Amino acid sequence: MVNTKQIEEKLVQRVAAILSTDAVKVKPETPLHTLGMDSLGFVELLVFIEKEFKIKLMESGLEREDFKTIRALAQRISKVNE
Amino acid sequence: MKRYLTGIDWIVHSLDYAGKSQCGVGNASEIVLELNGRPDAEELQTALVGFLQKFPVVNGVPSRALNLCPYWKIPAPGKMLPIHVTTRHLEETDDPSLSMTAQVNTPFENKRTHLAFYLLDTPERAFLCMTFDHRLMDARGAEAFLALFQRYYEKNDLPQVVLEEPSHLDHWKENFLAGQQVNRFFLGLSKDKPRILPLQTHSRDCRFLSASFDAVQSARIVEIAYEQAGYLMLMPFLLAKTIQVMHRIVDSRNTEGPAYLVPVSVDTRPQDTVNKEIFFNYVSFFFFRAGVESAGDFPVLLENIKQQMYGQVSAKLPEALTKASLLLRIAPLPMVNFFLRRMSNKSFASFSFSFVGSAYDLPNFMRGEVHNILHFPRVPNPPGIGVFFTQFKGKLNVTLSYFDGMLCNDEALQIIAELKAIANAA
Repeated sequence: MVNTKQIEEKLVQRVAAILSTDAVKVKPETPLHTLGMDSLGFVELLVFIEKEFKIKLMESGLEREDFKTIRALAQRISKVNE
Repeated sequence: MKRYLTGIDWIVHSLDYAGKSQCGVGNASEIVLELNGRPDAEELQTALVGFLQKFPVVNGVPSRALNLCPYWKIPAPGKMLPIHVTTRHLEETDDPSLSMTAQVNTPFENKRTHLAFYLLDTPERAFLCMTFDHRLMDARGAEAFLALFQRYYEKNDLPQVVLEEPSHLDHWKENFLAGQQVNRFFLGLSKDKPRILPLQTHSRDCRFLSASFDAVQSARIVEIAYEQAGYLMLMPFLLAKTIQVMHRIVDSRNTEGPAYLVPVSVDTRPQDTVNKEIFFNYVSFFFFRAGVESAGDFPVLLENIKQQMYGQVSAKLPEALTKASLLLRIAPLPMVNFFLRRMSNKSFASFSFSFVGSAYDLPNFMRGEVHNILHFPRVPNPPGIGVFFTQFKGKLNVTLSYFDGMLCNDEALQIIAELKAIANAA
């Protein structure tokens, strides 16, 4: 079972890969859209989350706050996984 | 020097071939910078000549290597063709869009010319227009190219531009498996012939109508997209709205067919990469099918589009298309063209769609402030009609492009009016 911190780290790595940038430049507290994420990149992230954490976020009634930052997203995934 | 062409490049070449065979004009597009100042035409000409001499690639021609791989033959730096910037002065009553339309519908001077520049000077403001051959660059590449010119003009700074591309004559098994995946996908899509407007094979000219959203309207659209489609779902939202609008027109013509099929070009590269990979094509495609029964029911349609996007990303369809297209390069362009039409049951799609982010990230062009950037792409025929959203400084623009005769004036105006009304939707 991975904890919230590990989930956050995995998400940071994935977002960095999607945006073709260095992981150190991806701050977990920065909103995804200000990092330069678009619809396609976001769907790629959702697909990654489904495959990695077995959660279909598109169907799980997410609120705006859940997606605000990578940190918030990690907390949401952790909560769903509990 | 040679630059090997990718499979996507080869598809773009085949669309160019089809356009030239049909009506003498290839797969071209036009980018227009609306300026608050007036660049000096002579200064622009001098600066462009100096800048373009650094890029002999703009005078290249396609060829085929001994290993049978198609490539772009880049001439020696000293063998560049001259470039002329034409200036047209328009009166207050003249419509600049007519000049822009005429320019993009004009074939390039010769087979080595892939760019044409001209300035439109009106009493209100000026427009810098660049017509470009899609074989040389795509829409984001064109914006990045003009941004590169501006950086060179301002600071004499010329960052490294990537031209190298491997021949991709390897990973055959991987490419064949991707081909199998793509073939199965298209077989699933092509069971039913999509709804299309009657093709205008006798038309040479594309017509364009565009609308711009101001910052407030654009922010409102992003907000509505969030409320109705979800976080960062602007592209599926705009596509669903466009299908809904197009459905009203196509349905009023009593057109037959159970669904709309919409190819959507996607470019996954971040801005830094676009600034280095300016030349040639790096897009891939999604293909969305919208049943006629859901085209008028927006929530159902939107959910359907999102699910298809999720499914195609999950199945890595855009990557598979990129790999599979490498196999097409062995075929001469007439054969590729025949194959693409055959595969799509002669009706490639109902209409094209794209949503391109801005790659021109500077406030000025020469000394004039850039007020807006518009794109006028000649859409390949078939489908001969497309809707293209772009962004500049956070503001959205939309262009309807269609072959003359496909829509009457009222229909085109209705489409643009309804797309413009997205900002007012509840």
